[in-house]
Amino acid sequence: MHEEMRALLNAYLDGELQGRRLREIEAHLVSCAECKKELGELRLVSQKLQADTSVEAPSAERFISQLTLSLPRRSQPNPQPKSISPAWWLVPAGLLMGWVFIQTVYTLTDLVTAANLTGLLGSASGWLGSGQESAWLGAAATLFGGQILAQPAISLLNNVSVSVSNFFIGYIWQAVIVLLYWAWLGAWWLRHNRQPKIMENTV
Amino acid sequence: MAQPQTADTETGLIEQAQHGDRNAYGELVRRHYQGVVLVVTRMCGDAGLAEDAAQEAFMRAWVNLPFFQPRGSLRNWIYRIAINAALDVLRHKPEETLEDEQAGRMPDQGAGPETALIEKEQADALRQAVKSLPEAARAVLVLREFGGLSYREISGVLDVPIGTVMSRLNYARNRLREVLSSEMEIMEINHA
Repeated sequence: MHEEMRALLNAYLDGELQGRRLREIEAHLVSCAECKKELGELRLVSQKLQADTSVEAPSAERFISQLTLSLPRRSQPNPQPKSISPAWWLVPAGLLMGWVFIQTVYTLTDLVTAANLTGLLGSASGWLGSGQESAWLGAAATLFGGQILAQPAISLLNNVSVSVSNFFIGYIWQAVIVLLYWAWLGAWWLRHNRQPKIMENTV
Repeated sequence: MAQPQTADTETGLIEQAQHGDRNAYGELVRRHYQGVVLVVTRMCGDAGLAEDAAQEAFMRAWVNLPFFQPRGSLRNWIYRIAINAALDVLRHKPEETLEDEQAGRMPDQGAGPETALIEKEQADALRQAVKSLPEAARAVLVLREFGGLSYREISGVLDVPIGTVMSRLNYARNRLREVLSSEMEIMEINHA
């Protein structure tokens, strides 16, 4: 408790404490002679520092006249930041909507394909038409004849191949959206950093 | 010719200076000159270096003023520039400028000779102690004692958390307290 209060002596001296902390340290100072003595010494240091305002410097007038003569010309008189168009903020929203749309389409496609593969759709599968054909299936039909398409194993393999193909195409779309989002973030960052920050250490 | 009403306010002056008005900037410099000079003098511990630092600080402030957002505090912004300018000047100082600027300082003539001598010795010891502090702690101490900034403002100017401001100030003041105590002890021994 004593060390905790001791660490707050400077903050107390500078009037930076409020509420519970302030009441605690005030109560502690009543009972702790060591902290009271230390506070007095810290106050003396602060007073002595603040009293020493003497500096050897040129008068403000002389300094200003020298300074204004040597001020460089500015290339851009007032490059106030331009306000960002609302359309700019629609870009990430549009990308998000596009991503949701693509995800939905591919998820539904996968669900329907999976249901078709497992026969859950029953007679409704006819509504889907003949389904998609992989490129290799067309080549196999040309080589071995159309009857190969009637083989259940070949048909299953084709459906699996189509599902996998759709899955990867879905990923490619997502990658495109992610890249576009990064590009937008990069453009935003460049735009943001083109205006020097007023509190940079480098200033 | 009458100036626009806003010309008298700091915001008006900033706006004019941002548009390249050197007279308006001169007025802003006049308003912050004393504070900046005090801060850089205590940061540098040398009058010559402090003048260079002040010149550099106001030059940088002029160049970067178009990017200053008037909703912030100009004083704090300039203090930050001044602290960085002082540190840069110190890093690039030639060795021969390391003179003791206190050597020729005269004690306060208004006080008695003995009291004035004691006060001068204490002030010199404190100045040397401030000068010997690590840069980070010195910057916090200078902004608090000579800039009169609150902990929150120092935190913003130096871009460090308030807890760091407190610990650096504790360190700095405790170092100075030790210096002052030992100075007092020496004086008591000499006096006895």
